[in-house]
Amino acid sequence: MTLELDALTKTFGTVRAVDGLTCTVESGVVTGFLGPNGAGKTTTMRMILGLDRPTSGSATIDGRAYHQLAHPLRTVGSLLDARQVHPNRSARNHLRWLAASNRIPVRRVDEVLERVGLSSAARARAGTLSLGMSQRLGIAAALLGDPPVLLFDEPVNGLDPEGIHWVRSLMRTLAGEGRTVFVSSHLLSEMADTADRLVVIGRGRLIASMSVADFLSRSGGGGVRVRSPQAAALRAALTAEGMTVVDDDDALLVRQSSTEAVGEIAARHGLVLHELRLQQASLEQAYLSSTDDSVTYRAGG
Amino acid sequence: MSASLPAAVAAERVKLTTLRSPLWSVAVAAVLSVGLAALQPRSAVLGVAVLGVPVLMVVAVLTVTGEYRTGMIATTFLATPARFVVLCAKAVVAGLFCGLSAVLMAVAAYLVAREPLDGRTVAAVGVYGASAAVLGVGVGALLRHSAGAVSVVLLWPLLVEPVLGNLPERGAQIGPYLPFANMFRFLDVTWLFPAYDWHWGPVGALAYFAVVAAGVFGAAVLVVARRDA
Repeated sequence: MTLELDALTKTFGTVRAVDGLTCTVESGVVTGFLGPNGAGKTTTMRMILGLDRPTSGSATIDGRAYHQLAHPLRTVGSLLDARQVHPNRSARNHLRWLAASNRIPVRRVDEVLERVGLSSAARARAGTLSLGMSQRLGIAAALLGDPPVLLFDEPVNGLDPEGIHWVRSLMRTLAGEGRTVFVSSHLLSEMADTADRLVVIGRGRLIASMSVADFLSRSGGGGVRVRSPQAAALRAALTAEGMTVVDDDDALLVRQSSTEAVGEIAARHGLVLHELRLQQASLEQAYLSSTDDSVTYRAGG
Repeated sequence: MSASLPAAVAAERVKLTTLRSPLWSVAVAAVLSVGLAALQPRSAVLGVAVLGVPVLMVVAVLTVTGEYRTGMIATTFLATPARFVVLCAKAVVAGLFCGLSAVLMAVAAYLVAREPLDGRTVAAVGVYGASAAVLGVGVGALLRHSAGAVSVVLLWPLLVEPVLGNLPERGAQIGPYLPFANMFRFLDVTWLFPAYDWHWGPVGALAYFAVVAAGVFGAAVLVVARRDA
């Protein structure tokens, strides 16, 4: 099932929290939803889920709005704020009422508790759970209806390193089962190893919707880094071969090339190399350069 | 449209029975009601009417405001996106729970008072409990905050109406239009209201209260459907 956003817009007073967002989230892959804090990620997810009413535009799941789904939890599982539970109700009873609301068999309650590792805390009151355990309960609730589409808003918040690793591998597993997995984060590093595709927004507007690899190459910063005592001659030789060469501190950066090509050109011209290596653009760098002018809240100074 | 009311009712039933506070509240309401019956045996159900049912209304209010306080209302609307179905399910469950509790309290009150059990009054108290619960769900959904909504459902019957209904100059004119004064007329329970020149009979009085409760509930349905959760 695909998730489609079509010119989705939400205005709060004079602020355009989400501004004409159009993109498609495919099944079978993990799609990272990136943007600085305040970029409109949570508002977008709340509109997809029918909690906030779009000012204009639409969000649909296989062509249908969330409120048109007969048993929504069996189609879309979501984790927004893990603290949205009654503190005096046990974890298991919280899942029991959710199951009853969508006619999900009660055995699923114990299955998802087992899957998220909360079986031993099933009877503890939700208010006594640590943030990490609350997060696991929220993920259990998302998985309850065995849904083909999953939305997670900042799922690793408050998790310890082991928990973060667990969430990442869970996302990959869920996508591997053919589900649509849409995960928001303000930290690119969280997404780097997990996501296949990225939807990047800033100030409510779409900045990029593409594969992680495309996002990297488009945002630049990558290339072959080469350092030579005969830098001027090397630059001339490379430029003569039609390559784009830029300065990178005390070295040269050759765009869209390979170490083999650069090395062979240097050898033909008898130039000495002190360094020759492929430099990947860091995802962080690409993210910062793409969202730089769209940060809503920035510290003064 | 996922207008699956039975499933939503089942969910609300699980919610109500998996917290301790509603049961404690009913216990408090029962002690107050039956205690008053022991003091006032001639007017056995007075305690249920003036103390028991208002406490039950608080339970009904909290089924809504308790969810707004914790943010759980968003989870509820994710499970059942049709918000009027959510409010109807809450009204059904709170109405049955409070109506049944009121009936049990009324029976207990007659037993403690050692008065012959009056079936018509017991049934009327049940209807009062159920319709007051619907009113409580409506007030809770409109106001969203526990403190404000609880104040409304306690002050309205226990303070505001007795004051308005006893105003020296206008009380006799206003009284017949006060919802709880009408309900006490239907219950045939003497409370702080003087004898009014009624415009309708006891059944009309019940209908009047029901219309007010339905009006508040209907307003809540409209407002909740429009606003962001």
